[in-house]
Amino acid sequence: MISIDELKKMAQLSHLAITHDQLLAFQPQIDAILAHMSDLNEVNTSPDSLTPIHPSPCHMREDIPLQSNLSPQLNAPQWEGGFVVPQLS
Amino acid sequence: MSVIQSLANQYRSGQRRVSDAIQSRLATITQQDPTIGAFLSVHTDQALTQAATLDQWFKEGRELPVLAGIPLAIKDNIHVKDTTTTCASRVLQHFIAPYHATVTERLLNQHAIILGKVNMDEFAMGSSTENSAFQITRNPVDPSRVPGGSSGGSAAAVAANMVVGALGSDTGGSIRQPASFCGIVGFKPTYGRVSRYGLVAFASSLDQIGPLTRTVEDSAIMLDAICGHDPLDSTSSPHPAPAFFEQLNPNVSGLKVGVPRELLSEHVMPEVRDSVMAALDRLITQGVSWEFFSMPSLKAAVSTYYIIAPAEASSNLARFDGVRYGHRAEGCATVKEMMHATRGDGFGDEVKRRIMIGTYCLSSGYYDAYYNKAQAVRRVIQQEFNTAFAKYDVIITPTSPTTAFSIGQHHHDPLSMYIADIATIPVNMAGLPALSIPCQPSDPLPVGLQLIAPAFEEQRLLNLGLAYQQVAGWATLLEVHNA
Amino acid sequence: MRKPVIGIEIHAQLNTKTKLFCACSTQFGAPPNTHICPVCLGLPGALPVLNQQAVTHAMMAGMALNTTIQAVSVFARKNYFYPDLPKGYQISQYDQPICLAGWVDIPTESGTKRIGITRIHIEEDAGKLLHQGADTIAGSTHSIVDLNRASTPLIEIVTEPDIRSATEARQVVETIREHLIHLGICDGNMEEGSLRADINISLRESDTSPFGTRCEIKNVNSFRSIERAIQIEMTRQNALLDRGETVIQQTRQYDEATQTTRPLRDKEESHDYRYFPEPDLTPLVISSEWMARVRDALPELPAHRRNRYHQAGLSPFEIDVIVADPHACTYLDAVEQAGATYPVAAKWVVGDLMAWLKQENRGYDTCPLTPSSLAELLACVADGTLSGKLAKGVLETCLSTGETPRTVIQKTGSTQVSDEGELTTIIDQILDANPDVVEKIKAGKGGATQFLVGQVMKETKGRANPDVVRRVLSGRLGI
Repeated sequence: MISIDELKKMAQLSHLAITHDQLLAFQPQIDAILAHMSDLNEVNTSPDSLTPIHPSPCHMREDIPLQSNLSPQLNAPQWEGGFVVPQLS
Repeated sequence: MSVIQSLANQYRSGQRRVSDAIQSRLATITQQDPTIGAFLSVHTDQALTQAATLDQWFKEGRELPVLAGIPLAIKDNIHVKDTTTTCASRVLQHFIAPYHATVTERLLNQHAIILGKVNMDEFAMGSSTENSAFQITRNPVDPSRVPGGSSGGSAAAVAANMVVGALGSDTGGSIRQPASFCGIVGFKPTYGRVSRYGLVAFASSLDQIGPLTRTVEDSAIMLDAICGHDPLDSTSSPHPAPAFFEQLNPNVSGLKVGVPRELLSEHVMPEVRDSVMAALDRLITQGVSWEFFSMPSLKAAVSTYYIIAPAEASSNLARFDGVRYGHRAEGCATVKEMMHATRGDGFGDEVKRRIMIGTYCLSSGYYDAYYNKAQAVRRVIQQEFNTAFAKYDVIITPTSPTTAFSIGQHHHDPLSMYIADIATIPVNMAGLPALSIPCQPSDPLPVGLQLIAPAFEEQRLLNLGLAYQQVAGWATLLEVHNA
Repeated sequence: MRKPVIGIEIHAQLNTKTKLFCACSTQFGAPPNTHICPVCLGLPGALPVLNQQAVTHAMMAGMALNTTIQAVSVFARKNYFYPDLPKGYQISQYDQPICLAGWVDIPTESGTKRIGITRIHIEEDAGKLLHQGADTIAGSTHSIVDLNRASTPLIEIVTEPDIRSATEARQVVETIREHLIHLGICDGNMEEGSLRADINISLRESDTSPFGTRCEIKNVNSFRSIERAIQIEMTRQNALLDRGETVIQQTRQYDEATQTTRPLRDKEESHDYRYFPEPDLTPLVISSEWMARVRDALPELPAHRRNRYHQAGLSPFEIDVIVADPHACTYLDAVEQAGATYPVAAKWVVGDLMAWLKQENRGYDTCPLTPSSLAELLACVADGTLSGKLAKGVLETCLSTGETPRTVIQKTGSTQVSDEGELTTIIDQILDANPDVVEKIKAGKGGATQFLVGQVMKETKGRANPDVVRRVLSGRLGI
């Protein structure tokens, strides 16, 4: 069974505030899902390098500037000439 | 028979005004949506304004594309500029899209009319639309049941005749399964056929946008509008898109079909198995031959998906941190606290579960055993499909092992819902195109038949789907909504 | 004396016109959050599209540093949370970078030393945080995020831990910086942040001991800081080891004001970056044709230039000054092409011309005197039309008016008078006017000759050829 501590660590890494009760509720659910992963070991795989699903030539762009008409304030939660954030710890 | 074409003809012959057709659909929404719950936002004013313009243009005799004036719905994870894109999440509840998704641009260039944004599972994570933060959606065929997910709103809106077609997104079956639950047609194109620019990403290597419609012809028309290379999406394929509607041909005599026996096992509901077998018999009358074959890697496909999709999602959803847009938790002393609280408040349980699983699978010490291994198994699945397609032209499976289940039935058991995606997931793993069509109209609950083709062979699916549609006769029983 | 083992990671901002994954301008100095779009803002639904010029620039850096350019490289996501990181991940390269296994030669007291380059990869820069209420994070009440810089292209150059002193470390950064400037791909401004160096340093008992635990030092913003930071860190680590304690592997921030290094906070959990291949981009494929085109167009590298100028007879000082500025090199080469000789041209380029340009805050690329005009001026000096002194005056006039030397000479009539007959007439006049000076000279006070030369210069408005004047005077005075 995946431990509460490991789950806590995952929540921390993902920057998710999660209550102890929620962790307890998630524990069996996540554990059951992860247990299923053992199916993977039954499939014979070879360790070659990743190839894309449908290989296509690498798509690139010319170095020509374009002015976007985006207004960054539109959805900003707090704005003062830039995105305001609280103190960095 | 094409509902789109039928309506388009009415517009051009003067038999029906666009404004009346739109008013009529809006009325249907007003009457039925309090029960069905498909729409998250209805763009009444914009739709009526556009309709008035089109009426003027038709009166002037302007030549307009076939989609002009056709009422559509868009899943609420695809941007329509200056309207909300919520992804059915509290985190984006008030987010206003500052740009159109490429698919939206393409539909609007054809003067289609977008009636509104439709409900979904939060961030496309789910198979029932019950994970929406705002409302559930009910299956129009039986409102005590789910419409499927995550494009449940799209499927319900089409099935309830609120719109003629809708766009959904499909990562592990999210277009096909709701189509099968609601008795309509759902198409997931080859990965890379349709631009993902403006689709809020769930799992970048699996997501594709596709149409939900009443008929196969309508699916082809909508595919024609949205397919094609987009320089704004680096994964978009330069493969030229043919004119799918124009090249529809229901003559499928000689076609060889393979059916993976693993997908018609004892885990499949008897009514689903019976409907699918009957469908296969029907296809034989059209000159199609079929046989069982084995795809052993399919068993691991669900696990593969439930590593890769959450892993990519955990990264894609990291941008929702309360800094630049979306929900921000109040009263936090530090940035870190603010980010934790924002995401803790804003995301629902399923999203949190998947983010945590995804983070786990990518974290140091587990990356090789989980993520890397899953990618390797994914390649095996791809290879098995390639081997099968050397022998068969199309692979057929039930879209889902079950029919639409009751609302609330799977609430406490996410794993059981995951396993139900067994038939649809492998298709996304291999990046292939797939079509779900209803087996027959007289089924008590709709059963979906899934057709799968090699990459970029959408035409083959549309042709076979059309042939089946004609022989099953459900299109002729369709009620075209009249005002 | 414990021995330091040092490796350096250099982040260089590429001076492409647009960002790495979107078409926003990279132009410096714009008001905050004006060079942004859905992609670099990290809006939902936005997708990255790679800037081809950035790849070309990275290839050039790779070639200049003798690496192997990989035909296939892969972008990867580096996942961590920080307010200046819009997507919550940085698109970088991880186990398949664009360049591998190179080297750079640096000058040391005991000769040239070869430093290994482990790898070079391409990645996007983060935005900027402006702290409010204080100058640093500690004490600030809140911060404002400016995303103009977000997604600017960077290359990260990683050296092997081959460096053995603070001086060598400084030299490595100087040499690599010089290469990047000569390639024209980075302006190398450490104070403004377009070139940043992170130092990895550990100590060991002797040259043959295994490597010790290393620490990473960040926030080193100048060449001087590089040496200082290393010395401070060496002192710190030595003190720990002397006390029998162990060095903990950590990232530390260099503080110029207090001359200390401090552990960097708030990056602890980001040690697990959960790298995985970027699914929104296909692998970067570089054809052999593209590689060949870039190689053929590669500008001349500093080492080659130094050697060439040395062969041409320039002094080490002149070489250092000129090679520090690629525009000066281009200018000098053009002057030589227009007919001047290297040693003569170099004196002027390094001397009067550079002084004027510095004063006017201009560069050789915007110099009002063209290389061919300078060559013309130097030709006038060579054939006697102008004395060296006169030529300096003409140079000043040309620079301020933008006119050619020929025009200026014609206008001001400031050609040198070398005609003996003409000068003899003038000299005789001056001798007649100054009998007492003549007496003094004849009496043996040779210094007064200078007075007479001065008078001739005054009379000819400085145009008299001083050598001819002295010869005629000597003849007339019989000295």
